[in-house]
Amino acid sequence: MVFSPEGFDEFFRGAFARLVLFLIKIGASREEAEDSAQEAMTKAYESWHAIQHPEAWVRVVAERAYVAAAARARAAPVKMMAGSWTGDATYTDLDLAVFGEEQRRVLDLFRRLPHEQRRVLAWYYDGFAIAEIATRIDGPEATVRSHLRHARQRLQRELKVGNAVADAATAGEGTN
Amino acid sequence: MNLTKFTDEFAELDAQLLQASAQAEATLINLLSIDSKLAQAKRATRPADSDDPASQVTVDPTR
Repeated sequence: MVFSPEGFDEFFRGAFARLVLFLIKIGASREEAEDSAQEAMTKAYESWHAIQHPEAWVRVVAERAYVAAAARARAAPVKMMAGSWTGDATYTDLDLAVFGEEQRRVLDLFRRLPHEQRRVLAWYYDGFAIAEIATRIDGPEATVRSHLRHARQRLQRELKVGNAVADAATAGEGTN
Repeated sequence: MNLTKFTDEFAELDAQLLQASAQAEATLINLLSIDSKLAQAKRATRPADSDDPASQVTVDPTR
């Protein structure tokens, strides 16, 4: 029998789904997210006693695994990392079909953001402070704040437009 | 920049996104077989530290 290092099982059960979601938010398909999260968790298991901040550690490792896998699979990592607008991403709604309508709408909006904005937003909504995000993604705090502000301004605008369209559709239904 | 103001400006958006994230996480928890993924992570490291005789096959490098 193989015994887990102390605390690992509990960490895994509490963190795995959130890690998969983190990767989906930064642009991974569900399959890519599960594979990269699994790879990061396996590495965390191997190095468990040396890891001080497992939540942050697995995100950094999982993101690297995803970027490497995506580079191998698509041979277009340069465009992805350059922060291009990814409205033409290859993913379809089918990839998010398991989620409810509102969850799908939010995840789809995340995916339309430039890569760096998406990345900072994913860290931020997972509860990391700006200083820690800057450390983990190896960038200045001012840049993190700037990405965060632009991303949230854009999301706010998009969600308002989406809500207005939904309201208009509902009102239209009522008059027919 | 004033962080409090920065946060308040997007409070409604933050609440909406956090709620959608929590729901999406709950969906994934229902969907993923977390315990089977955990076993998979352990199995992946097994040859290095396992006491399972099946994983401790020694190979004679001279053959």
